[in-house]
Amino acid sequence: MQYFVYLLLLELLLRILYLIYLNIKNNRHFLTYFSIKKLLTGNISANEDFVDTKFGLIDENKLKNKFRFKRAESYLNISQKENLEAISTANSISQKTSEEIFSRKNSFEQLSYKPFVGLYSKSNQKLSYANVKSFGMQYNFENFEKQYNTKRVIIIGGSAAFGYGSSNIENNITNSLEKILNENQETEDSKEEIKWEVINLAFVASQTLSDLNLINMYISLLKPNYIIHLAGYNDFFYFFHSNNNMNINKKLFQFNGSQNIINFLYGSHNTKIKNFLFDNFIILKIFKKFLFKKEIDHKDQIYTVF
Amino acid sequence: MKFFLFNLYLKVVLLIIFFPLSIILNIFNLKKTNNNNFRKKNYKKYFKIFKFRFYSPLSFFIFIFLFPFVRLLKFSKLKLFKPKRINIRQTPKQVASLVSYRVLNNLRLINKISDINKTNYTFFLQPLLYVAKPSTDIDKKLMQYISHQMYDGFTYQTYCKEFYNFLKESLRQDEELGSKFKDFTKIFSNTNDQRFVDPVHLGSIGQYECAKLISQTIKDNEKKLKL
Repeated sequence: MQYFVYLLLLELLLRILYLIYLNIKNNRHFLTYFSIKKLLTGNISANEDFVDTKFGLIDENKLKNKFRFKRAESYLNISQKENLEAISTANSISQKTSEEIFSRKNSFEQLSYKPFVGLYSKSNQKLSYANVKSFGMQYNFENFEKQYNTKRVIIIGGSAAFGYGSSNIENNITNSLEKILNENQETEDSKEEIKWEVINLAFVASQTLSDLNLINMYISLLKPNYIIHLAGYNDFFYFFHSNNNMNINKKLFQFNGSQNIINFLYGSHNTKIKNFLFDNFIILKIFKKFLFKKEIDHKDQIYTVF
Repeated sequence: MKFFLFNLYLKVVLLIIFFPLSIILNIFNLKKTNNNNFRKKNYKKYFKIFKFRFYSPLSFFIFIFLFPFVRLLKFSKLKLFKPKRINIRQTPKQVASLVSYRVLNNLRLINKISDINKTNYTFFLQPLLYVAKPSTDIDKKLMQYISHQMYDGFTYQTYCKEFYNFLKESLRQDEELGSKFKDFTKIFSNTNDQRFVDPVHLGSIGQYECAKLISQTIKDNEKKLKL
Protein backbone atom coordinates (compact mmCIF):
# COMPACT_ATOMS: atom_id res chain seq x y z
CA MET A 1 0.00 0.00 0.00
CA GLN A 2 2.83 2.30 0.95
CA TYR A 3 4.60 1.68 -2.37
CA PHE A 4 1.40 2.26 -4.26
CA VAL A 5 1.04 5.72 -2.70
CA TYR A 6 4.67 6.47 -3.58
CA LEU A 7 4.02 5.46 -7.16
CA LEU A 8 0.96 7.70 -7.37
CA LEU A 9 2.92 10.62 -5.97
CA LEU A 10 5.71 10.00 -8.45
CA GLU A 11 3.13 9.88 -11.27
CA LEU A 12 1.67 13.19 -10.14
CA LEU A 13 5.10 14.79 -9.92
CA LEU A 14 6.03 13.61 -13.41
CA ARG A 15 2.74 14.94 -14.75
CA ILE A 16 3.32 18.35 -13.17
CA LEU A 17 6.84 18.54 -14.61
CA TYR A 18 5.66 17.49 -18.04
CA LEU A 19 2.79 19.99 -18.10
CA ILE A 20 5.05 22.82 -16.89
CA TYR A 21 7.40 22.00 -19.76
CA LEU A 22 4.51 21.97 -22.25
CA ASN A 23 3.06 25.24 -21.00
CA ILE A 24 6.43 27.00 -21.12
CA LYS A 25 7.00 25.65 -24.61
CA ASN A 26 3.59 26.76 -25.90
CA ASN A 27 3.36 29.99 -23.86
CA ARG A 28 0.19 28.90 -22.12
CA HIS A 29 -1.10 29.73 -18.72
CA PHE A 30 -0.61 26.84 -16.36
CA LEU A 31 -3.71 27.19 -14.18
CA THR A 32 -6.37 26.61 -16.81
CA TYR A 33 -9.26 24.18 -16.57
CA PHE A 34 -7.77 22.14 -19.37
CA SER A 35 -4.36 21.92 -17.71
CA ILE A 36 -5.79 20.87 -14.36
CA LYS A 37 -8.07 18.32 -16.00
CA LYS A 38 -5.15 16.92 -17.93
CA LEU A 39 -3.01 16.88 -14.83
CA LEU A 40 -5.42 14.67 -12.98
CA THR A 41 -7.06 12.49 -15.57
CA GLY A 42 -6.00 13.16 -19.13
CA ASN A 43 -3.79 11.00 -21.23
CA ILE A 44 -0.34 12.35 -21.86
CA SER A 45 0.73 12.48 -25.45
CA ALA A 46 4.41 12.43 -26.32
CA ASN A 47 3.94 14.94 -29.10
CA GLU A 48 1.49 17.65 -28.22
CA ASP A 49 1.76 19.38 -31.58
CA PHE A 50 -0.28 16.73 -33.34
CA VAL A 51 -3.77 15.44 -32.82
CA ASP A 52 -3.42 11.70 -32.69
CA THR A 53 -5.69 9.25 -34.37
CA LYS A 54 -8.06 8.19 -31.64
CA PHE A 55 -11.51 6.76 -31.40
CA GLY A 56 -14.26 8.52 -29.56
CA LEU A 57 -15.02 12.18 -29.23
CA ILE A 58 -12.01 14.43 -29.45
CA ASP A 59 -11.65 16.90 -26.63
CA GLU A 60 -12.11 20.30 -28.27
CA ASN A 61 -9.46 21.75 -25.99
CA LYS A 62 -6.95 19.50 -27.71
CA LEU A 63 -7.43 21.48 -30.90
CA LYS A 64 -6.73 24.82 -29.25
CA ASN A 65 -3.81 26.74 -30.79
CA LYS A 66 -2.93 23.87 -33.08
CA PHE A 67 -1.77 24.72 -36.55
CA ARG A 68 -3.02 22.39 -39.29
CA PHE A 69 0.21 22.45 -41.28
CA LYS A 70 2.53 22.04 -38.28
CA ARG A 71 3.51 18.54 -39.39
CA ALA A 72 5.07 19.95 -42.57
CA GLU A 73 7.58 21.91 -40.50
CA SER A 74 9.12 18.75 -39.09
CA TYR A 75 9.19 16.50 -42.16
CA LEU A 76 10.28 19.28 -44.50
CA ASN A 77 12.64 20.78 -41.92
CA ILE A 78 11.39 24.32 -42.48
CA SER A 79 10.73 27.12 -40.03
CA GLN A 80 7.24 28.25 -39.06
CA LYS A 81 7.81 31.45 -41.02
CA GLU A 82 8.74 29.58 -44.18
CA ASN A 83 5.75 27.31 -43.77
CA LEU A 84 3.41 30.28 -43.36
CA GLU A 85 5.01 32.00 -46.32
CA ALA A 86 4.27 29.02 -48.57
CA ILE A 87 0.66 28.76 -47.39
CA SER A 88 -0.07 32.48 -47.60
CA THR A 89 1.48 33.01 -51.06
CA ALA A 90 -0.24 29.92 -52.47
CA ASN A 91 -3.56 31.30 -51.23
CA SER A 92 -2.73 35.01 -51.82
CA ILE A 93 -3.56 36.01 -48.27
CA SER A 94 -1.48 37.48 -45.47
CA GLN A 95 0.56 35.25 -43.18
CA LYS A 96 -1.47 36.34 -40.18
CA THR A 97 -4.75 35.43 -41.87
CA SER A 98 -3.46 32.03 -42.95
CA GLU A 99 -2.24 31.31 -39.42
CA GLU A 100 -5.61 32.36 -38.05
CA ILE A 101 -7.60 30.27 -40.57
CA PHE A 102 -5.59 27.09 -40.15
CA SER A 103 -5.45 27.32 -36.37
CA ARG A 104 -9.22 27.12 -35.99
CA LYS A 105 -10.88 24.00 -34.69
CA ASN A 106 -12.61 23.45 -38.03
CA SER A 107 -9.36 23.18 -39.94
CA PHE A 108 -9.04 19.59 -38.68
CA GLU A 109 -11.05 16.94 -40.47
CA GLN A 110 -13.28 14.56 -38.60
CA LEU A 111 -13.23 11.09 -40.02
CA SER A 112 -15.30 8.00 -39.45
CA TYR A 113 -14.66 4.43 -40.48
CA LYS A 114 -16.50 3.28 -43.56
CA PRO A 115 -16.16 -0.38 -44.53
CA PHE A 116 -14.36 -1.00 -47.85
CA VAL A 117 -13.30 2.65 -47.93
CA GLY A 118 -11.32 3.39 -44.79
CA LEU A 119 -11.40 6.55 -42.73
CA TYR A 120 -13.92 8.60 -44.67
CA SER A 121 -15.05 12.19 -44.06
CA LYS A 122 -17.67 12.48 -41.36
CA SER A 123 -20.92 13.97 -42.64
CA ASN A 124 -22.13 17.48 -41.85
CA GLN A 125 -18.95 19.29 -40.94
CA LYS A 126 -18.05 22.75 -42.13
CA LEU A 127 -14.31 22.87 -42.43
CA SER A 128 -12.37 26.03 -43.14
CA TYR A 129 -11.70 24.81 -46.68
CA ALA A 130 -14.55 22.39 -47.45
CA ASN A 131 -18.22 22.11 -46.66
CA VAL A 132 -18.89 18.43 -46.10
CA LYS A 133 -22.57 17.51 -46.16
CA SER A 134 -24.47 14.25 -45.86
CA PHE A 135 -22.72 10.97 -46.80
CA GLY A 136 -19.41 12.81 -46.38
CA MET A 137 -19.82 14.51 -49.76
CA GLN A 138 -19.33 18.09 -50.87
CA TYR A 139 -22.15 19.47 -53.02
CA ASN A 140 -24.26 22.58 -53.47
CA PHE A 141 -27.69 21.22 -54.43
CA GLU A 142 -30.63 20.27 -52.26
CA ASN A 143 -32.19 17.35 -54.04
CA PHE A 144 -30.25 14.17 -54.67
CA GLU A 145 -32.57 13.32 -57.54
CA LYS A 146 -31.01 14.47 -60.76
CA GLN A 147 -33.05 17.06 -62.65
CA TYR A 148 -33.55 16.71 -66.40
CA ASN A 149 -31.52 19.82 -67.34
CA THR A 150 -28.60 19.12 -65.04
CA LYS A 151 -25.31 17.41 -65.60
CA ARG A 152 -23.32 15.97 -62.79
CA VAL A 153 -19.60 15.73 -62.22
CA ILE A 154 -18.19 13.51 -59.52
CA ILE A 155 -14.72 14.20 -58.17
CA ILE A 156 -12.84 11.37 -56.52
CA GLY A 157 -9.35 11.24 -55.13
CA GLY A 158 -7.28 12.15 -52.12
CA SER A 159 -6.67 15.30 -50.16
CA ALA A 160 -5.65 17.29 -53.25
CA ALA A 161 -9.07 16.57 -54.76
CA PHE A 162 -10.81 17.13 -51.43
CA GLY A 163 -9.62 20.73 -51.37
CA TYR A 164 -6.99 20.50 -48.65
CA GLY A 165 -4.72 23.53 -48.81
CA SER A 166 -7.34 26.05 -49.86
CA SER A 167 -7.92 28.94 -47.47
CA ASN A 168 -11.66 29.13 -48.05
CA ILE A 169 -14.60 27.06 -49.20
CA GLU A 170 -15.50 29.27 -52.17
CA ASN A 171 -12.13 28.79 -53.88
CA ASN A 172 -11.62 25.09 -53.35
CA ILE A 173 -11.55 22.74 -56.31
CA THR A 174 -15.22 21.67 -55.98
CA ASN A 175 -16.73 25.13 -55.96
CA SER A 176 -14.25 26.50 -58.49
CA LEU A 177 -15.09 23.75 -60.96
CA GLU A 178 -18.82 24.21 -60.50
CA LYS A 179 -18.48 27.96 -60.93
CA ILE A 180 -16.37 27.67 -64.09
CA LEU A 181 -18.67 25.07 -65.65
CA ASN A 182 -21.79 27.11 -64.97
CA GLU A 183 -20.18 30.38 -66.13
CA ASN A 184 -18.75 29.28 -69.44
CA GLN A 185 -21.78 27.75 -71.02
CA GLU A 186 -22.23 27.90 -74.72
CA THR A 187 -25.86 28.86 -74.65
CA GLU A 188 -26.02 29.91 -78.27
CA ASP A 189 -26.09 26.40 -79.65
CA SER A 190 -28.10 24.75 -76.93
CA LYS A 191 -31.78 25.39 -76.49
CA GLU A 192 -31.76 25.04 -72.77
CA GLU A 193 -29.24 26.08 -70.21
CA ILE A 194 -27.54 23.16 -68.54
CA LYS A 195 -26.99 23.30 -64.84
CA TRP A 196 -23.76 21.73 -63.70
CA GLU A 197 -23.58 20.07 -60.30
CA VAL A 198 -20.25 19.05 -58.87
CA ILE A 199 -20.16 16.41 -56.14
CA ASN A 200 -16.92 15.79 -54.38
CA LEU A 201 -16.48 12.29 -52.97
CA ALA A 202 -12.78 12.73 -52.32
CA PHE A 203 -11.44 12.38 -48.82
CA VAL A 204 -8.13 12.84 -47.11
CA ALA A 205 -5.64 9.98 -47.59
CA SER A 206 -7.83 8.15 -50.08
CA GLN A 207 -6.30 5.50 -52.30
CA THR A 208 -7.50 4.21 -55.66
CA LEU A 209 -9.01 1.09 -54.09
CA SER A 210 -11.17 3.28 -51.82
CA ASP A 211 -12.11 5.40 -54.83
CA LEU A 212 -13.17 2.29 -56.71
CA ASN A 213 -15.38 1.16 -53.84
CA LEU A 214 -16.87 4.64 -53.44
CA ILE A 215 -17.77 4.81 -57.10
CA ASN A 216 -19.29 1.37 -56.90
CA MET A 217 -21.42 2.51 -53.94
CA TYR A 218 -22.66 5.84 -55.21
CA ILE A 219 -22.72 5.75 -59.02
CA SER A 220 -26.29 4.46 -59.27
CA LEU A 221 -27.53 6.97 -56.70
CA LEU A 222 -25.83 10.06 -58.13
CA LYS A 223 -25.98 9.19 -61.84
CA PRO A 224 -23.01 11.32 -62.89
CA ASN A 225 -22.14 12.36 -66.44
CA TYR A 226 -18.48 12.72 -65.66
CA ILE A 227 -16.13 11.13 -63.18
CA ILE A 228 -13.03 13.18 -62.47
CA HIS A 229 -10.32 11.21 -60.72
CA LEU A 230 -7.48 13.34 -59.36
CA ALA A 231 -5.12 10.98 -57.57
CA GLY A 232 -1.93 8.95 -57.80
CA TYR A 233 0.30 9.91 -54.90
CA ASN A 234 -1.46 8.32 -51.93
CA ASP A 235 -1.14 4.77 -53.25
CA PHE A 236 2.58 5.24 -53.49
CA PHE A 237 2.81 7.03 -50.14
CA TYR A 238 1.04 4.31 -48.14
CA PHE A 239 2.79 1.47 -49.91
CA PHE A 240 6.18 3.05 -49.47
CA HIS A 241 5.86 4.11 -45.85
CA SER A 242 4.11 1.01 -44.56
CA ASN A 243 6.64 -1.26 -46.21
CA ASN A 244 9.53 0.87 -45.15
CA ASN A 245 8.55 0.79 -41.51
CA MET A 246 7.57 -2.85 -41.32
CA ASN A 247 10.17 -4.58 -43.33
CA ILE A 248 9.01 -8.10 -42.74
CA ASN A 249 5.27 -7.60 -42.32
CA LYS A 250 4.63 -6.52 -45.84
CA LYS A 251 1.03 -5.59 -46.18
CA LEU A 252 -0.75 -5.48 -49.46
CA PHE A 253 -3.20 -2.76 -48.59
CA GLN A 254 -2.93 -0.34 -45.74
CA PHE A 255 -4.97 2.80 -45.38
CA ASN A 256 -4.71 5.66 -42.97
CA GLY A 257 -5.29 4.45 -39.42
CA SER A 258 -5.93 0.87 -40.54
CA GLN A 259 -3.83 -0.58 -37.74
CA ASN A 260 -5.83 1.38 -35.15
CA ILE A 261 -9.08 0.13 -36.63
CA ILE A 262 -7.86 -3.47 -36.70
CA ASN A 263 -6.78 -3.15 -33.07
CA PHE A 264 -10.14 -1.64 -32.16
CA LEU A 265 -12.17 -4.28 -33.97
CA TYR A 266 -10.11 -7.38 -33.30
CA GLY A 267 -7.84 -6.43 -30.40
CA SER A 268 -8.17 -8.41 -27.19
CA HIS A 269 -9.37 -6.80 -23.97
CA ASN A 270 -5.91 -7.25 -22.50
CA THR A 271 -4.34 -5.23 -25.30
CA LYS A 272 -6.96 -2.50 -24.91
CA ILE A 273 -6.37 -2.31 -21.15
CA LYS A 274 -2.60 -2.32 -21.71
CA ASN A 275 -2.86 0.49 -24.26
CA PHE A 276 -5.11 2.49 -21.94
CA LEU A 277 -2.62 2.17 -19.10
CA PHE A 278 0.31 3.10 -21.30
CA ASP A 279 -1.60 6.11 -22.61
CA ASN A 280 -2.60 7.40 -19.21
CA PHE A 281 0.35 6.82 -16.89
CA ILE A 282 3.72 8.40 -17.38
CA ILE A 283 5.52 5.82 -15.23
CA LEU A 284 4.23 3.03 -17.44
CA LYS A 285 5.14 5.07 -20.49
CA ILE A 286 8.73 5.23 -19.25
CA PHE A 287 8.69 1.48 -18.54
CA LYS A 288 7.37 0.86 -22.00
CA LYS A 289 10.11 2.93 -23.53
CA PHE A 290 12.84 0.88 -21.87
CA LEU A 291 11.29 -2.56 -21.79
CA PHE A 292 9.38 -2.88 -25.02
CA LYS A 293 10.46 -2.54 -28.56
CA LYS A 294 9.30 0.63 -30.23
CA GLU A 295 5.89 0.13 -31.78
CA ILE A 296 5.42 1.56 -35.20
CA ASP A 297 2.61 4.04 -35.15
CA HIS A 298 1.29 5.59 -38.29
CA LYS A 299 1.08 9.23 -37.55
CA ASP A 300 2.10 10.40 -40.94
CA GLN A 301 -0.82 12.75 -41.20
CA ILE A 302 -2.96 14.55 -38.69
CA TYR A 303 -6.53 13.47 -38.22
CA THR A 304 -9.25 13.68 -35.69
CA VAL A 305 -11.30 10.54 -35.71
CA PHE A 306 -14.84 9.99 -34.56
CA MET B 1 23.84 -16.75 -22.68
CA LYS B 2 20.69 -18.28 -21.22
CA PHE B 3 18.92 -18.21 -24.57
CA PHE B 4 21.95 -19.61 -26.31
CA LEU B 5 22.00 -22.57 -23.92
CA PHE B 6 18.30 -23.18 -24.45
CA ASN B 7 18.80 -23.05 -28.15
CA LEU B 8 21.73 -25.45 -28.00
CA TYR B 9 19.87 -27.84 -25.76
CA LEU B 10 16.87 -27.83 -28.09
CA LYS B 11 19.06 -28.56 -31.09
CA VAL B 12 20.85 -31.41 -29.31
CA VAL B 13 17.59 -32.95 -28.12
CA LEU B 14 16.07 -32.57 -31.56
CA LEU B 15 19.00 -34.21 -33.34
CA ILE B 16 19.86 -36.96 -30.89
CA ILE B 17 16.49 -37.93 -29.45
CA PHE B 18 13.47 -36.68 -31.35
CA PHE B 19 14.73 -37.25 -34.84
CA PRO B 20 15.77 -40.94 -34.31
CA LEU B 21 12.64 -41.48 -32.24
CA SER B 22 10.35 -40.20 -34.97
CA ILE B 23 12.08 -42.47 -37.49
CA ILE B 24 11.64 -45.48 -35.22
CA LEU B 25 7.98 -44.64 -34.58
CA ASN B 26 7.32 -44.25 -38.27
CA ILE B 27 9.03 -47.54 -39.07
CA PHE B 28 7.03 -49.51 -36.51
CA ASN B 29 3.86 -47.50 -37.04
CA LEU B 30 3.53 -46.85 -33.37
CA LYS B 31 2.17 -43.42 -33.88
CA LYS B 32 -1.60 -43.19 -34.07
CA THR B 33 -2.86 -41.24 -37.05
CA ASN B 34 -6.59 -41.18 -36.39
CA ASN B 35 -7.25 -37.47 -36.27
CA ASN B 36 -10.62 -37.31 -37.93
CA ASN B 37 -12.81 -34.47 -36.79
CA PHE B 38 -16.02 -36.32 -37.52
CA ARG B 39 -15.32 -39.11 -35.13
CA LYS B 40 -16.41 -38.92 -31.59
CA LYS B 41 -13.77 -37.84 -29.18
CA ASN B 42 -12.19 -40.68 -27.39
CA TYR B 43 -11.73 -39.47 -23.86
CA LYS B 44 -8.50 -41.10 -22.93
CA LYS B 45 -7.34 -41.84 -19.51
CA TYR B 46 -4.44 -39.87 -18.28
CA PHE B 47 -2.09 -39.78 -15.35
CA LYS B 48 -1.23 -36.57 -13.63
CA ILE B 49 2.09 -35.39 -12.28
CA PHE B 50 1.72 -32.09 -10.48
CA LYS B 51 -0.37 -29.98 -12.87
CA PHE B 52 0.64 -31.76 -16.05
CA ARG B 53 -1.57 -34.33 -17.72
CA PHE B 54 0.03 -37.18 -19.63
CA TYR B 55 -2.06 -39.21 -22.03
CA SER B 56 0.64 -41.65 -23.01
CA PRO B 57 4.12 -42.73 -21.94
CA LEU B 58 5.38 -41.14 -25.15
CA SER B 59 4.07 -37.71 -24.20
CA PHE B 60 5.66 -38.12 -20.79
CA PHE B 61 8.94 -39.02 -22.43
CA ILE B 62 8.77 -35.94 -24.67
CA PHE B 63 7.84 -33.77 -21.74
CA ILE B 64 10.96 -34.78 -19.81
CA PHE B 65 13.17 -33.51 -22.56
CA LEU B 66 11.19 -30.36 -23.11
CA PHE B 67 10.76 -29.65 -19.41
CA PRO B 68 13.32 -26.80 -19.34
CA PHE B 69 11.13 -24.92 -21.81
CA VAL B 70 8.16 -24.77 -19.45
CA ARG B 71 9.80 -21.74 -17.94
CA LEU B 72 9.77 -20.08 -21.32
CA LEU B 73 5.98 -20.05 -21.38
CA LYS B 74 6.21 -17.07 -19.07
CA PHE B 75 8.09 -15.16 -21.72
CA SER B 76 5.97 -16.32 -24.61
CA LYS B 77 5.12 -12.75 -25.51
CA LEU B 78 8.74 -11.90 -26.08
CA LYS B 79 8.72 -14.23 -29.06
CA LEU B 80 12.09 -15.83 -28.48
CA PHE B 81 11.90 -17.99 -31.54
CA LYS B 82 10.67 -15.29 -33.84
CA PRO B 83 12.56 -15.21 -37.12
CA LYS B 84 15.16 -12.52 -37.44
CA ARG B 85 14.06 -9.29 -39.07
CA ILE B 86 15.22 -9.19 -42.61
CA ASN B 87 15.67 -5.87 -44.24
CA ILE B 88 13.87 -6.34 -47.49
CA ARG B 89 15.00 -3.61 -49.76
CA GLN B 90 13.17 -2.64 -52.85
CA THR B 91 14.64 -0.55 -55.58
CA PRO B 92 12.65 2.41 -56.93
CA LYS B 93 11.83 0.42 -60.05
CA GLN B 94 10.42 -2.46 -58.03
CA VAL B 95 8.30 -0.12 -55.91
CA ALA B 96 7.13 1.69 -59.02
CA SER B 97 6.09 -1.49 -60.82
CA LEU B 98 4.28 -2.91 -57.78
CA VAL B 99 2.29 0.23 -57.00
CA SER B 100 1.59 1.02 -60.65
CA TYR B 101 0.23 -2.48 -61.19
CA ARG B 102 -2.15 -2.00 -58.28
CA VAL B 103 -3.22 1.49 -59.35
CA LEU B 104 -3.74 0.44 -62.96
CA ASN B 105 -5.97 -2.44 -61.97
CA ASN B 106 -8.11 -0.18 -59.80
CA LEU B 107 -8.36 2.43 -62.54
CA ARG B 108 -9.38 -0.19 -65.07
CA LEU B 109 -12.18 -1.30 -62.76
CA ILE B 110 -13.38 2.27 -62.18
CA ASN B 111 -13.34 2.75 -65.94
CA LYS B 112 -15.36 -0.43 -66.44
CA ILE B 113 -17.95 0.66 -63.88
CA SER B 114 -18.25 4.10 -65.47
CA ASP B 115 -18.60 2.52 -68.93
CA ILE B 116 -21.42 0.29 -67.72
CA ASN B 117 -23.17 3.32 -66.21
CA LYS B 118 -22.55 5.40 -69.37
CA THR B 119 -20.35 7.91 -67.61
CA ASN B 120 -17.26 9.64 -68.92
CA TYR B 121 -14.25 8.80 -66.82
CA THR B 122 -10.99 10.75 -66.82
CA PHE B 123 -7.98 10.15 -64.66
CA PHE B 124 -5.80 13.13 -63.80
CA LEU B 125 -2.41 12.36 -62.34
CA GLN B 126 -2.14 14.85 -59.51
CA PRO B 127 0.53 17.57 -59.56
CA LEU B 128 3.46 16.88 -57.30
CA LEU B 129 6.45 18.95 -56.33
CA TYR B 130 8.57 15.82 -55.90
CA VAL B 131 8.26 15.17 -59.59
CA ALA B 132 8.11 18.65 -61.10
CA LYS B 133 10.99 21.10 -61.05
CA PRO B 134 10.55 23.66 -58.25
CA SER B 135 9.65 26.94 -59.91
CA THR B 136 9.76 29.36 -56.97
CA ASP B 137 12.16 30.05 -54.12
CA ILE B 138 9.62 28.75 -51.60
CA ASP B 139 9.28 25.54 -53.60
CA LYS B 140 13.03 25.14 -53.44
CA LYS B 141 12.95 25.66 -49.68
CA LEU B 142 10.19 23.07 -49.33
CA MET B 143 12.20 20.55 -51.28
CA GLN B 144 15.64 21.33 -49.89
CA TYR B 145 15.62 18.91 -46.97
CA ILE B 146 13.40 16.13 -48.25
CA SER B 147 15.19 15.83 -51.59
CA HIS B 148 18.36 14.75 -49.77
CA GLN B 149 16.68 12.20 -47.51
CA MET B 150 17.78 8.69 -48.33
CA TYR B 151 15.73 5.50 -48.17
CA ASP B 152 17.75 2.35 -48.81
CA GLY B 153 20.29 4.24 -50.84
CA PHE B 154 17.82 6.23 -52.93
CA THR B 155 16.23 9.60 -52.35
CA TYR B 156 12.49 9.86 -51.78
CA GLN B 157 12.31 11.97 -54.91
CA THR B 158 13.86 9.18 -56.97
CA TYR B 159 11.19 6.76 -55.76
CA CYS B 160 8.44 9.26 -56.58
CA LYS B 161 9.82 10.09 -60.01
CA GLU B 162 10.26 6.45 -60.90
CA PHE B 163 6.70 5.63 -59.83
CA TYR B 164 5.19 8.55 -61.72
CA ASN B 165 7.17 7.78 -64.89
CA PHE B 166 6.23 4.12 -64.72
CA LEU B 167 2.56 4.89 -64.11
CA LYS B 168 2.44 7.49 -66.88
CA GLU B 169 4.05 5.14 -69.37
CA SER B 170 1.77 2.26 -68.51
CA LEU B 171 -1.31 4.49 -68.62
CA ARG B 172 -0.35 5.81 -72.05
CA GLN B 173 0.18 2.32 -73.37
CA ASP B 174 -3.09 1.02 -71.92
CA GLU B 175 -5.76 0.50 -74.55
CA GLU B 176 -8.71 1.51 -72.42
CA LEU B 177 -7.16 4.15 -70.18
CA GLY B 178 -4.75 5.71 -72.66
CA SER B 179 -7.31 8.16 -74.01
CA LYS B 180 -8.78 8.83 -70.56
CA PHE B 181 -5.57 9.89 -68.91
CA LYS B 182 -4.39 13.47 -68.41
CA ASP B 183 -1.01 14.30 -66.98
CA PHE B 184 -1.24 17.13 -64.44
CA THR B 185 2.19 16.64 -62.92
CA LYS B 186 3.88 19.57 -64.55
CA ILE B 187 1.03 22.01 -65.04
CA PHE B 188 2.68 24.61 -62.82
CA SER B 189 6.19 24.33 -64.19
CA ASN B 190 5.76 27.40 -66.40
CA THR B 191 4.44 29.70 -63.68
CA ASN B 192 6.70 31.67 -61.39
CA ASP B 193 4.05 32.05 -58.70
CA GLN B 194 3.59 29.89 -55.65
CA ARG B 195 0.98 27.16 -56.10
CA PHE B 196 1.96 24.49 -53.56
CA VAL B 197 1.42 24.76 -49.80
CA ASP B 198 3.54 21.63 -49.32
CA PRO B 199 5.03 19.19 -51.84
CA VAL B 200 1.65 17.54 -52.44
CA HIS B 201 -1.16 20.01 -51.78
CA LEU B 202 -2.24 23.09 -53.68
CA GLY B 203 -3.40 26.45 -52.45
CA SER B 204 -6.66 28.00 -53.65
CA ILE B 205 -5.01 29.56 -56.74
CA GLY B 206 -3.56 26.22 -57.77
CA GLN B 207 -6.88 24.51 -57.15
CA TYR B 208 -8.68 27.09 -59.28
CA GLU B 209 -6.21 26.51 -62.12
CA CYS B 210 -6.68 22.77 -61.78
CA ALA B 211 -10.45 23.23 -61.92
CA LYS B 212 -10.03 25.34 -65.05
CA LEU B 213 -8.08 22.61 -66.81
CA ILE B 214 -10.58 19.95 -65.70
CA SER B 215 -13.46 22.07 -66.99
CA GLN B 216 -11.62 22.37 -70.32
CA THR B 217 -11.50 18.58 -70.57
CA ILE B 218 -15.20 18.35 -69.77
CA LYS B 219 -16.02 20.99 -72.37
CA ASP B 220 -13.99 19.16 -75.01
CA ASN B 221 -15.88 16.00 -74.19
CA GLU B 222 -19.18 17.84 -74.45
CA LYS B 223 -18.21 19.12 -77.89
CA LYS B 224 -17.38 15.59 -79.00
CA LEU B 225 -20.74 14.38 -77.75
CA LYS B 226 -22.58 17.08 -79.69
CA LEU B 227 -20.80 16.14 -82.88
